[in-house]
Amino acid sequence: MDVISPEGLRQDGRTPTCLRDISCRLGLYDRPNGSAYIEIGNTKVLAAVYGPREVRSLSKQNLDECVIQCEMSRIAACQGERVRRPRDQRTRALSLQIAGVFHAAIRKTKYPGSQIDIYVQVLQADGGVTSACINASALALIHAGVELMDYVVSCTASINKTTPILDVTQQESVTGCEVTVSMLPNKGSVVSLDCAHTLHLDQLDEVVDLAMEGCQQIYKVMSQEVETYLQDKNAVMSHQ
Amino acid sequence: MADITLSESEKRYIVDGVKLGLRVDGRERLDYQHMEIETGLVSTANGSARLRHGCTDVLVTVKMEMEPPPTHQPKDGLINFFVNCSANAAPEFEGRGGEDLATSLSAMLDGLYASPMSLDRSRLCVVPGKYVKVLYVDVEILECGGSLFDTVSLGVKAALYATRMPKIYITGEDGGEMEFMVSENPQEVDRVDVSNAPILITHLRITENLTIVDPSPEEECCGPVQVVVGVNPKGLITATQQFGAGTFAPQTLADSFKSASALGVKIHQQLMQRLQQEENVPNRKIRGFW
Repeated sequence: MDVISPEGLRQDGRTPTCLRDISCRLGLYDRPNGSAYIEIGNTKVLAAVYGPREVRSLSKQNLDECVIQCEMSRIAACQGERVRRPRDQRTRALSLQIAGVFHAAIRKTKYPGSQIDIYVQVLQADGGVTSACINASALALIHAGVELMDYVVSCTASINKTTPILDVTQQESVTGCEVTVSMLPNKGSVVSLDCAHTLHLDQLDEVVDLAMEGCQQIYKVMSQEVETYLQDKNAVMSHQ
Repeated sequence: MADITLSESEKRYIVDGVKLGLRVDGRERLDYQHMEIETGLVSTANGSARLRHGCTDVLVTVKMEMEPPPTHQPKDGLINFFVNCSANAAPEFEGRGGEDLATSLSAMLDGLYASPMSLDRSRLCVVPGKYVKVLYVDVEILECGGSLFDTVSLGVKAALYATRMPKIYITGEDGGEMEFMVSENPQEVDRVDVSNAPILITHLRITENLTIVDPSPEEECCGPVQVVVGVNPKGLITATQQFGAGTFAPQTLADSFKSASALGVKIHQQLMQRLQQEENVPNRKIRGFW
C-alpha cells in the first residue's frame, strides 16, 4: 500500500505536512518532583522527574554541575508484538540519547553536586517514540521547576519518494527513513538530529526543515499547556 | 516501600488513633479509599485496565498468544503474570531495584490464579496437546502509595474482564498441521470468565489485636507485618501470605481472615457492578491519563 494515496493523503487521512493530534498534561503524580504525559496520535508516553537532589553514587558526583540520568522503559503491550523486557539495549541507547539532549538544555551549573533523574515510560508506541519521550521529559522538567535554557521540542519527519512527510507513524517509518530532530524552539538551534535508515544528502535539508517546522507547531501546543497549567495554579507570569 | 520517615511521636499519633477507631484521613479501621477504574485504554492489548487507588496507580494489560501447551497439562491454557515496578513510581525502582517487590507480587498472583476454581483454564484450549491460548498479564506499577496487593489484584480482575480475544476457527488439517482462521469481525470475540476470579485484601497489624485494611504509606510505617488474603466472590479464602518482619497472634489472624472474607464479597460486587456499568455506556470515550 502506498504511503501517500493518489489524492495526496496519507493512510490516516493527513496531508504530508500535517501533525497528528497532540495533547499533553502536566502534574499527574504527587511523588515525583515533576511529571507529564503526552499523546501524539497513538504514541503515549509518561515522564517523571526526580530532582535536583543528592547524588546517589558519589563516584558520579560533579561539584561543578549536576548529573543527568535518564531511564526509559516500555510496557509489555505497547506495540503489536508483546515486549518481553521493559528495558533492553535499545531502550538504554534511547535513554542515553534523551539524557544527551537535556545535557544541552538544562542549566547544569545551577545545580552543582546534585542529580536529576528523568524516567520515561512508553505506554503505546506508534512512531516518533523518541520525540514523544523528549517532549514529555521537557514538560516534566518544566513541571519540576528545573532551569532550562529553553523548551526542548522534538519531531520526526521522513520522505516518501520526493515528498517530505511530517510526524511519521510506525507503519510509515517501516518503508522509509525516520529523522528525529530535537531543538530549542526559541533559539532555533538543533540539539539532536538522528536519522534511521538511508536518506539522500540532497533531501536532508528538506526533511530537516519540515521537522523543524513541526517542532515549532508542537512547541505552541506545549507552551499553551504549560500556560494553562500555571493559570490554573494562579501563577503570576512575568511576560504578560 | 515509600521513602517516608516518621518520628516516634508521629507513629504514636497514628497508632493511638487506630486504637480509638479513627485514622489520620478520617476513615475507620475497615474502610477502603476511593478508587477510580477504567478499562480498554491500551488499544494494542487484548484487555487493559488502569486503577487509581489513593496514591497508587497501576496499569494492567492482557495479551493473548497461541502456544503449544506444557506436556503434563495438554488440555489447559496458561495464564502468566509479570509485574514491573516502573522507575516513575519511585527512583529506587531504577534498573533492577523494583525486582524484589515485583517478584513477590507476581508470585502472589500466580498462587491466586493457580486453582481451577479461580479460572477455568480448559476454556483456553484450542487444540488439545497442540495449541492453547496463553494469557500474558503484565502489571505496571506507575505510582506506589500503599496497599499495592489489593490494587494490583483488582486491576488484574478488571483487565481480564475487559479482555476480548478474536474467535479462532479450525478450518482443517494438512499433513498433521492444523489450519486456523482468526475471525476479523470485532464483534466475534471470546471473553475470559472472571466470575470466580479472586482478589487480595491486605490487613496491616497495628497493635496486638488491631488490624486495618488499605493502609496509607504512613500507616505502613507503623506496622511491620501484614497478611494478604485472597478472597473469591463467594467469600472463600483462596490464598494467604504474611509479609514483613513481625508476628500475628493466632486470634488476630483468624479475625483478619473473617473480615477479609466479608469485605471481599462486597468489593467483588462493587467492582463487577462498576465494570458492567462501564461496559454498557454506548460509544464510551476513553479518558486515559486525563
